[in-house]
Amino acid sequence: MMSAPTCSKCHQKPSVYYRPYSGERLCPNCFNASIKERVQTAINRFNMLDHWSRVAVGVSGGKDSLTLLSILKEIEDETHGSELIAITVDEGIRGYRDEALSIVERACKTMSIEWKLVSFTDLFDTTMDEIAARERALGACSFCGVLRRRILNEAAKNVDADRLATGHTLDDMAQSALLNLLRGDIGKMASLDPAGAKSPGFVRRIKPLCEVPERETTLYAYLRGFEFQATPCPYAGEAMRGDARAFLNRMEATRPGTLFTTYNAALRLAPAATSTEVMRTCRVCGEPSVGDVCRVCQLIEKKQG
Amino acid sequence: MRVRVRLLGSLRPTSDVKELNLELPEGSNVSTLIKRVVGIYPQLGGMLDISSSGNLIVVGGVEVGNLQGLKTPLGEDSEVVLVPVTHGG
Repeated sequence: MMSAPTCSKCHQKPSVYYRPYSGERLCPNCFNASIKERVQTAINRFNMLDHWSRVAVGVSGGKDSLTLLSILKEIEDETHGSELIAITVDEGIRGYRDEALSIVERACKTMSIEWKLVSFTDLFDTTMDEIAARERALGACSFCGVLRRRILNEAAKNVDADRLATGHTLDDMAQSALLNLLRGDIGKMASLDPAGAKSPGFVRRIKPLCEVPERETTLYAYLRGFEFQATPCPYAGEAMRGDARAFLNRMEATRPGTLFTTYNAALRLAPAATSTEVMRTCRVCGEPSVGDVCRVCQLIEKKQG
Repeated sequence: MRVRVRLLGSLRPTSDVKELNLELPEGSNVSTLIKRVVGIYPQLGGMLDISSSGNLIVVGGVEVGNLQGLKTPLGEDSEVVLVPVTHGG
């Protein structure tokens, strides 16, 4: 059996992971500590939290959101004293979401974190399976993303949260930056701000994992013994994001650091990309909207009751 | 030689398969093992495409990027864990 080099941080234990973009070789303890430190640094760098923030955490049951919840719990127990409330959205995807719900429920029980479950059916009177079955020009992810953002915001407001933390990783940030470029939508770079924007009607969205590569949230989840969901989302293959992900993964494998470079370039563009759009009120649902009718109501053709 | 493979999350080919015990030729490495797994479960081919998937492959508790990557040699009773990276948040 091969032996691994000694950890480049503690110089004592055998390493289990090589970090190509930094050259470090880390043992499990030093690796986990480095991830927690990376999250803490991002929170501080972008002023994501105040003392005593009430943080709603979007938890899907995947390894990213479970990693986020676990690290925030540790950090907040040790430092800020913020309150955490886990929120899970049931989009109504048969098989896929059912497994995730049981994983989240067990995780929240283990971590003693309050858990709220909200569903598309409750707010939109429909499910993703029903939407996906309809004739539609857009991919399922376009619907799901918009509706999930709305329902998470509603749920965060309902629990009086002043922050909404999501498990977006460095990979997600770099993919979004690339997609914005590919779609010619430079104005959207502003939405990549990991600290989120203060905007009337919206709970401020923060992304504490913004500087943690997805490979490393995965390793963290594995080393911590989190459950891995077996059922993939049946609609995931429709997303253009998959192409961006595959491209960036290949680039990262051959040119380590590509994800960080892309992310940092997007952050430099973000301030200049601030939207000039004026927020109005959707005439159907009354929520904040850029247009006369908000994107959610356009997508589900919700009729005013 | 006999190698034990644990498949996590979406890398499980069916809900009842969590583990494989494979007989591999002497001198096999991680690449040999991946080819054997995909040979048994062709549906995993795309997900185990090492060039673009970025999955973690853990041999004896060590991720193979910290060893010799796909050329990491396997021995009798090696334990390999395949951990999916791409699955959404």
